Parts: sequence; structure tokens; C-alpha cells
Amino acid sequence: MSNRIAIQTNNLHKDFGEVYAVRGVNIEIQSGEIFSLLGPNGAGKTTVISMISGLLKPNQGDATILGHSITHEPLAAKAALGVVPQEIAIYEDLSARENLMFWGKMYGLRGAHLKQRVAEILETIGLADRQKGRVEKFSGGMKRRLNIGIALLHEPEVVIMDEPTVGIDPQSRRKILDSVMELNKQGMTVFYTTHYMEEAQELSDHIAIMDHGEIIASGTHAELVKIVGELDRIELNINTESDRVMETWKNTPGVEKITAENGQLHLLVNDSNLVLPQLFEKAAQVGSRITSVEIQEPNLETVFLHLTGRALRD
Amino acid sequence: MKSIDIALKDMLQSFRSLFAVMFMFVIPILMTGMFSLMFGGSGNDEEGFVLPTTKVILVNQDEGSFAGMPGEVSQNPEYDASSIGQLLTMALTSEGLTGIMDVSMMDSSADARFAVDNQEAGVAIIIPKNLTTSFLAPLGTVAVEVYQDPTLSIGPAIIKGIVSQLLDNFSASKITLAVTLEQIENSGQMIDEAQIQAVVAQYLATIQPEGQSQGSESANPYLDIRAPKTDQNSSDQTINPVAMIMAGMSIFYVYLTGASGTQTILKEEEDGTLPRLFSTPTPTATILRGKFLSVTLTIIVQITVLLVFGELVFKIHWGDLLSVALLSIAITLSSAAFGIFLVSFMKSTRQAGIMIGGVVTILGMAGMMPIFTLGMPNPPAFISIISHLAPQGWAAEGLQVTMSGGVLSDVWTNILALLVWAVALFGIGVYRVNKRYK
Ligand SMILES: Nc1ncnc2c1ncn2[C@@H]1O[C@H](COP(=O)(O)OP(=O)(O)OP(=O)(O)O)[C@@H](O)[C@H]1O
Ligand SMILES: [Mg+2]
Repeated sequence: MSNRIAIQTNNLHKDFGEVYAVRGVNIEIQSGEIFSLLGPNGAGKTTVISMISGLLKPNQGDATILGHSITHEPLAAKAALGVVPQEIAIYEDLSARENLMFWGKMYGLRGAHLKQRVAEILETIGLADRQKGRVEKFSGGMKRRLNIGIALLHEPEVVIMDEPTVGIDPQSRRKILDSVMELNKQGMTVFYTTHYMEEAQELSDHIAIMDHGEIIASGTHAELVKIVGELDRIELNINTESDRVMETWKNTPGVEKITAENGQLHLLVNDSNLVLPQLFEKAAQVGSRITSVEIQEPNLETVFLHLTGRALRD
Repeated sequence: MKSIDIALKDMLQSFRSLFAVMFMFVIPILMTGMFSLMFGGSGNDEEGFVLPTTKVILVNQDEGSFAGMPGEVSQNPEYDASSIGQLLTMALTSEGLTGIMDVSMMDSSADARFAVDNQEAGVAIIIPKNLTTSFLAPLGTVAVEVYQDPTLSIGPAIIKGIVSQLLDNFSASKITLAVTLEQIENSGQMIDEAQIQAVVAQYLATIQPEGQSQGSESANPYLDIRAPKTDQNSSDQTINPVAMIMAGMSIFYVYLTGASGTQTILKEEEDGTLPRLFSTPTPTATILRGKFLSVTLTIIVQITVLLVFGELVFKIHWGDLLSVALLSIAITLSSAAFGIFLVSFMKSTRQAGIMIGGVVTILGMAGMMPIFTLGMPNPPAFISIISHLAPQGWAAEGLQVTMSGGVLSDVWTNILALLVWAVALFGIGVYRVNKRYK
């Protein structure tokens, strides 16, 4: 693995009129790594990717791909890049093969090389035996795989995948995650966005957490988890209204943060073994009873909760 | 190269789409087919407007003759009539009128009137004994009788119109002559009767070839009097209506293809494939060029298929090959440019679907108005003006001209106008589309 920088963004800004979608994003992705951008719906992930891949002009800032500025050398930057859009973008009325042949040409492939790459990709995405079939007859998972395959045709050094596993069955999802890791092993740099913290955790060398158009934390998984220190995350249900219980729990030693969401209480605590007995006791004092408890090791979800006071998944 | 790839991909998609193929080929052909059935079959391309044929009985009792006069008219080989009665007979039985009237000759005027009374014929035309004589006499009066079946209206009215137009032509010459004679006499000169008759005869001889000088493809010199009192180019009247319908349909649907073909830009934008194209190392200009190319090629295929189909199946003679080819290219470019122009104002395929239908229909109707009003004896002038406000109008007129025998020198204004339309629409459209995808 070289030490080159695959993708660098420099103070990217984008607004859509009133909506400030991206406000000052700086990312640096090293060649050869898998980098995940983790954030809830509407965080601004797709907008960042659109700017990096040259589909949207930033209001401010720039991005480079392998040193090529997307605003000043768009063709060189785009040639080094494979982009898997979040929304499936393929021609439904063409066959899988026709799609690959066409997109391959758009990436500048020709002749025998094109045919060979198309055959290889058809194998990789497991559609070799369905290559002549019209895409409109494909299942969601097959379309997603074709959507990914198109971005890999020209063997780009860097591939950007925008939530490639949204809305598909666990089996297809597993296949996609495995192939991402396989591609990375072969030397491809992957920039991956997701709102599933498990995916970010499993895949990534580095993770940036994004919320409301900003990167609120970044680093390796271990580094990020350290932000919340030794905090444990507890999810509880009680049998009464939560207001009075939260009030009494707030001042309990060891409780760092407490939020209520959909009737469930989320707490960040220093040491669950010490804190939990007190929570039971104080709840009883105000006439409430804890009906269920779940203790979680610190993870990205905990980090997001810690930083934003909200759960990653709404 | 990449723009060709994009064009080929687009064409593959549109020719694969049943919907597109329906609108490109099937509907215009079916519509023409329907009209052709309504108008009584194809192949009668010499036939002119197919009106109900009226049975006419012609009685020519004219005994006069201009034979032996100076400046003898029969020197003209096409013109071997020796009396006005014979001239009229020739005119009324001419091939060009066979669709309108079925003429049979009778000797007795009483028999002729009897046949009309018995509804064996719609009209009897009785040419009096003294027609030529009275015509040649400076002050004589002419009376051709048109005896008609009162229950019929359209047929006899047309016949009356034709006869009176013919006679008008003759009496016009007489009036001219009378005025001339008066002036000559006033100037104190004397002219003998034989001279006068020679002048009349020569004048009559000149009436005939006039019909030919008006660009009519037909060999029949009398065609120009088939639609009396028309102030338009009389050649319009000689085109097979099925051919006009086919031309109109083809032009209408070609412009529709221009618009709906370009609309794939919006569809691709909505489907995400256009942004995806922009994420490949392909310049925006190349992508737009590919789109324009695909629409252009598609229309060339469409127009060629329609013209060839019309020629082979409906037996339509589109006219001079070079003119038709250049006209088709101009039509193709203007309709593709029309598409880009139109789509540059649309935000979504939903909007475009409604707008394209509306605009193509309105402009198509405007452009085709001269076709719809072909049967009108005196179409108002605004019709021609309106039709020229739409490229469709220039296209339809162009085909009309080539079909009636026009050559490049007759249609170059139409070709030029279409190219101007193309450049203007293309310029505005591309400017706007470019701005949008910048
Ligand atoms: N074309 C646009 N016009 C107006 N607002 C937009 C546009 N694109 C995105 N936005 C807004 O910008 C914000 C960020 O959107 P973006 O799609 O980048 O989020 P995301 O992190 O990709 O979300 P998701 O996980 O749902 O894909 C949202 O509030 C969204 O509504
Ligand atoms: Mg997104």
C-alpha cells in the first residue's frame, strides 16, 4: 500500500437555498483503505459524494482524487474514480450485458478489453447466467449488484459507494460487504457511506461520523470509541411516564447522559455494574418499575449518542 | 465516438420501446390507411379530391366553327376543337374531371332532360346551336343550359361552377376583345370581321396552355379550372388527398419524435443515469451531442420508413428525389432542434408529457391548416400566415410542392426556412440545456 492520498476534500460547502446540506467538510482518505462516512438520513453524505464525483459544484472548497482537482481537471479525476450511486442508476430496458458494455464505453474501454472486463464483472457480481436478461425483470438485489459492477468496469483506483446495501435482503447485503472487502484486498481504495454502524465498524480502516452537514468525529473505530471513554450504554424500558424517573436518575452519580426516544430510555453511564442497582432503587422511589434492561459495550452508536444526544437510527 | 455510443444506446432503447415505435411508425401509417379507405382506395394518385361522382349528360348542339379562319386554332395539336361547343366538351370530358363527373354524350336535349327527370343523371349540360357563332359575333350572347336534379346539391353545384368558369374564360376574352375593338374604332381605324374572328380564335387558343404553365404535374391543361375562383396556387388541387394526409401525419409524428426523443434527457435525469453519465469521464457536450445525434438518426429512420412506405403501399409520388431528400434532412434537423428547444423548458417528464403533447399538437395543427382547408375554394389568408409560424407548416408546404412536381428551385425557400428554424431552436435549446447541466 502506498502512502498516497486517494481522496481529499478541502472545506466543502453546499447549500440548496435554505438548506445547508454540507458545511465545511474536510476528509482525507489514504490509498488502499476503506473509509466510511457514517451518518443518519439527511446528514449530507450523498451531497459530499456528489461534490467529490463532480455532479454538484461546491459553493466553496474543492476535492481531489489522486491529486486531480474535480473542479479543474474533472476528466482526469473522474477517470480515476468509480461511483456507485445510492439510487440504482441503470437502464432497465437494456440487458445486464448491454448496460455493462455501454457504461464500459463511457469509461473509455473499447474492443476486446471491454468484452473481457464485462465478462469478468458479470462473474464478480454473479450475473453471468442472467446477462442477456432485461434488467427490468431483475430482483432488487440483482439490480444493486449490477449498479455496483458498472463502477468497477474500468478498474478504478478509487471507488465511492453510497449506501450500496440499502433496501436489500441480508444475504445480498452479506455478498456485497464481502465483495467490498475483496476489492479492497486487491488494492482498491473504497469510500463507503452508510447509516448502519455495523457496516462501518466491520469494513472500515477509518470512519468519519457526519451529522447536519458536518463531520463531528473521525478516526479508527478504536479511536472513536475512546471518545466515550469507559462509558457503557444502557437501554431501558419502564412501566410509567419517563419524566419523573429521568429527573431522579439525572443526578445519580455515574450517569453521564440520558435521553428518551420512542418510550425507551438511553443512558450513558460510567460503570453499569455500579449504576444499575441505584437506577432500580430510585425508580421504585417515584413509583416506577424497570421492565427491561439492555447493556451494550461502547460502539459507534454510543459515540453518536454521546456527541449528538440522538440515536443514529431514527 | 462516445456520442455515437450514446446515440446508439438511445436508439436501441427507443426502437425497443413498443410505445415509441407505435408513435413513430404505426400510428401515422394507420391514420393514413384509414383516410385512404375513406377516400376510396389508394393508388388513385391522379384523381384529385374524391367528391361524389356526378352523372352528367352532355348535349353538344353547337354548329358553329372557326375552321378556315386565319390563325387557325387547330394548328395546336392538343387543341383540335373546331367550335366552342367542342372545346367545352373536351374540357368536361377531360381525364382530370373523371373523378368528379361521369360524362356521357347525347344528341337530343329532350332526352337529356328526361334522363335527369328520371334520376338517371344528376345534370344535363346543353350547349346551344349558336354558341360559337354568337360568341364570335362581338355582341352575341351565350347561354349554356345546366339542367339539374333538384334533389342533388353538391354535385350539380360543382358542375355548374366548372361550366361557368369555362364560359367565363371564354367571355373574358370576348370582353377584352370588345374593349380593344372599341378603342381601335375610336382611333379611327377600320377592322374587318375576319380579322376580329382571327383574334378571337387566337385568344381561345391561348386559354388552354395556361393551365400547364402553373406548375401542374398533370398533362391535362384544364385542371386549373376544377376549383373555380381559387386564388391559391392551383397545383394544390391536383395532389392526392391520401398523399397529403400521409405527408401531414409524417410531419406531425416526426416533430413528436423530435420532442419525445429529446425528452429522454429528462427521463435519464430522473432515473439517475444522467448524473451517472456525468460521473464518468465524459464531457457534458459529448453527452448532449449524443442525445441530439440519437434523435436526429431516429428521425431519419422514421422519415425514410414513412416516405418509402407511402411510396410503396399508398403509391404516393413524393416528387423530385433530391428535393425530397434535402427537405427531409431539413425537416429532421428542425424537428430534433425543436425537441431540444421544447425540453429545455421542461423540468420533469411528467410536465414534458403534457407540454409536448400540447405544443406538438398546436404547432402541428397550425402547420397543417392548409391541408385541412384544401377543399376550401377561398382559404383565408391568415391560414397561410399561421402555418408559416410553425416549422411544421414549412415542412408540409415543402412536401406539397415536391408532390405537385416542384423541384429544388421551388422548395429551397422551405428548406432554408426549416434550417433557420433548426438553427434558432437549437441555439436557444442548447444554451438553456447547457446552463442547466453546467
Ligand atoms: N437537490 C437538493 N435540493 C434540495 N435539498 C437537497 C438536495 N439534495 C439534498 N438536499 C438536502 O440536503 C440534506 C442532505 O442530503 P443528503 O442526501 O446529502 O443526505 P444523506 O446523508 O445522503 O441522507 P440519506 O442517508 O438519506 O441518503 C438533506 O436535508 C436534503 O434534504
Ligand atoms: Mg444519501
